Amino acid sequence: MKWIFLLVVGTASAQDAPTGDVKRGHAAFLKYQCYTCHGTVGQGAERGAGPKLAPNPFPWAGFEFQVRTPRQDMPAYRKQHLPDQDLADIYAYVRSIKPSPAASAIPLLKSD
Amino acid sequence: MKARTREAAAVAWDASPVSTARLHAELWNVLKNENWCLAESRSGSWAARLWPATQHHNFLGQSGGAGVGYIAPAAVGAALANKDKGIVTAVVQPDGDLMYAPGVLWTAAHHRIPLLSVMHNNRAYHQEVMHLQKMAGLHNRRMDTARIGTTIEDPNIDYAKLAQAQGVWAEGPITDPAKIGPALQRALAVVKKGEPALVDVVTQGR
Repeated sequence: MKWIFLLVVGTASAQDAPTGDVKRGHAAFLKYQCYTCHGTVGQGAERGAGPKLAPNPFPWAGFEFQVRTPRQDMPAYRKQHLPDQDLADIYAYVRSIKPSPAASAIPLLKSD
Repeated sequence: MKARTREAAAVAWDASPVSTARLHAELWNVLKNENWCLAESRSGSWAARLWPATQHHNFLGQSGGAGVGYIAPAAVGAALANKDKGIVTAVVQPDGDLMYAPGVLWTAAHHRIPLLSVMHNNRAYHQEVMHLQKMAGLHNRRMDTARIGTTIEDPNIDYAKLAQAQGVWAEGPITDPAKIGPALQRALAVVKKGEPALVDVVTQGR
C-alpha cells in the first residue's frame, strides 16, 4: 500500500511540473544567480552556503514553494523578479542534471 | 572519511569551474604523505570533512572575526613558523582575501618561505555576493544586482602572473579539474625545495 501511495505521489509531482526549457533554464539559473549558493550544476556548497539541488530535485510543488517563500537563509524570489516561466525553465534544468560518478569510481575519494 | 562525505564530494566532480570538494581532494592527495599544515581552516569546510587530522598543527583555524584579508599574511606567517620543523604548509587561498595584501607573496619569495598556495578563485568577494542576495530578497529587490561591486572580473585577475611578478613559482589559471593534480605535484616539488609556490584554480563560488 505504501509503495502504491508513493507511486501516485511521484506521478502527480511529475505531472504537476509546468513545461520548461532546459537550455533557457540553464541560462536563467545563472542569470538569477541560483548558482552562487547551489553551484553551477546544483551540487550545493560548503559551509552551509546552499544545499544540493540535483540530481533528483524534490517535487515541483516543494521546489516552487521554497523559491517563493523560502525557509532559512535563502532569499525569496518573488514573481515580479522571477517570472513563473523562468522558474519552470529553471526546474527543467535542475531536473535534467545527470548524476556525477559514484565516489567508489573516483580514486581520490577512496583514500583516507 | 565517511561514505556520505565521499558521495557528497563526488557530486560535480568534473565540473568547471572546479568544485570546492574536488579542489580539496586534489590538495589532500599531494599532502597526505607529508607532515602537513593547513594554515587556515574552518569547521564545515571540505578540508575538515575530507582530511583526517592527527596532529595539533594540522588545522590552524581562522581569523576569529570572519575578516577578509587575514588568510594570505597568516599563511605566510604559518609557513615561516613551520619552515624549520619539516612541516609542509598549504593554504586554500581565496582570491578576494589575497588582494588585500598581495605583497605577502613577495615577502614569501624574498625570505624563501615554503608555502603552497592553492587559489580558491571564484572571482568574487563571494560572501558579499550571497549577503547582498539575501538583502535583496529581504527588501523585495532584484537579485541580479547582487554582483555589482562584489565580483572580481572584467578583467579577471591572473594570479599566476601576480605571483610570478613577485618571484613566486606559479601556474594557472586552471579551469580543467584534471589539470589540478599534476600542477600541485609540481608546486609541491618547489615547496619542498624551500620556495613558495602558487597554483591558481578557477572554482565554484563556495
